[in-house]
Amino acid sequence: MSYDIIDDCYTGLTVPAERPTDYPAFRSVHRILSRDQIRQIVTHPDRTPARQRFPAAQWIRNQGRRGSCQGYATAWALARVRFMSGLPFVPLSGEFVYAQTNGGTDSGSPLIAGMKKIQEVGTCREDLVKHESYLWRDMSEAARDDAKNYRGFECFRVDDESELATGLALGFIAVICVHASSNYRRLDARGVRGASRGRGNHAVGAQDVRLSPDGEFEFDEVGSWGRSNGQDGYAWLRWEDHLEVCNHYHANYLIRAASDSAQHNVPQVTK
Amino acid sequence: MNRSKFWPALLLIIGGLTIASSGKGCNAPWPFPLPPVVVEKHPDAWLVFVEESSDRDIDLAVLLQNKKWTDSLAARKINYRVYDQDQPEASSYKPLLKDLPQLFFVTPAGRVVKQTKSPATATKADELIAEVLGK
Repeated sequence: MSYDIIDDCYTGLTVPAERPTDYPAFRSVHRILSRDQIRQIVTHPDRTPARQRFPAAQWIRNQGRRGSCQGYATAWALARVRFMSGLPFVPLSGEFVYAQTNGGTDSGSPLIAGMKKIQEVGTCREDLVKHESYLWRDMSEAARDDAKNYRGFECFRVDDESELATGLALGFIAVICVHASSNYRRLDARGVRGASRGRGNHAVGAQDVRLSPDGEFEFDEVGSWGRSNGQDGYAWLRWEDHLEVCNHYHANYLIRAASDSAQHNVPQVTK
Repeated sequence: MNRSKFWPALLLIIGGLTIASSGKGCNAPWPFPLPPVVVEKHPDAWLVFVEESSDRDIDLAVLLQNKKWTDSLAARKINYRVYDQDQPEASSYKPLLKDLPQLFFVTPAGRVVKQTKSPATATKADELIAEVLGK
């Protein structure tokens, strides 16, 4: 085990040798929205904030006493992307992603490894894998076969705050890196985590963006420490206080789309 | 009156009597209204949105983040799916694409019963659903 444990909460993100750049930056393919455009979207009367679309009782999990944060962040970001695409709610296994990316020991894993695996292999349903398992050899044939049904379709790299804000406003879901610490565990009255800057030791999801009273972007973190963490499992992050330094070492990403599962028979055009 | 004028004259008399007996006299519409056209509904059709996710449309983004609307689809037992145009699953739709994002109404057998630019609001989407699915 070579990852941080903060107040008995397990992390598990490893720092890659180089910041990955071998997949497209969001900015290179998508126009970046202005702050006013993002404000208009996130305050649109028809738009529902993500916390109401993904109620914690159904959508928040606890990685337990393993360094599987990256697996959980990845699997549950994909679960959200699927749901946003009209597919039914299916709880997905964080352990299955982690087991593919940890090199055979419970020693954490890098963000990019999960991104690649959910496109190449996928992840299986949660109930096919034992909680806190982490060895690939413990993943059953049924689980491996099931994973074909739950894959992501391409991802966009996030290089800066405006890319992340644009993507989240437009309904993409992100996997991001933070640096957990005791201060990070504290929330202010508005639900924003205490400042915590570092190389990055913990992967989480991001599902929404809002603007603070002083006009700064705040990003809605999806944690994997259960519902006693933060605000029912969620918390707000700021680029400068939580993401900027980590971003020098890790490449956060947005998941572009989700694949169909065999059980979900979307019609194909015949004539 | 020769035979060639007799039958048209008789038809005119019968027509006149029919109008008169309707009680509406000259106010009766002419020609008589046609029976309403029955438009076939497809209550089991899917809504398939095809977008270019690297140029995501703001209206579609808001629509898909509108929980009231997506919940209403579930309540009406309406299936929907959103594809990026480059996904393998969208390949059968790709030859039909025009102005992205597109909305297809497709029967489970794969017949496209309507194809349109993705509606800008939930209200417009519901108008299309009423027209095609009758729900």
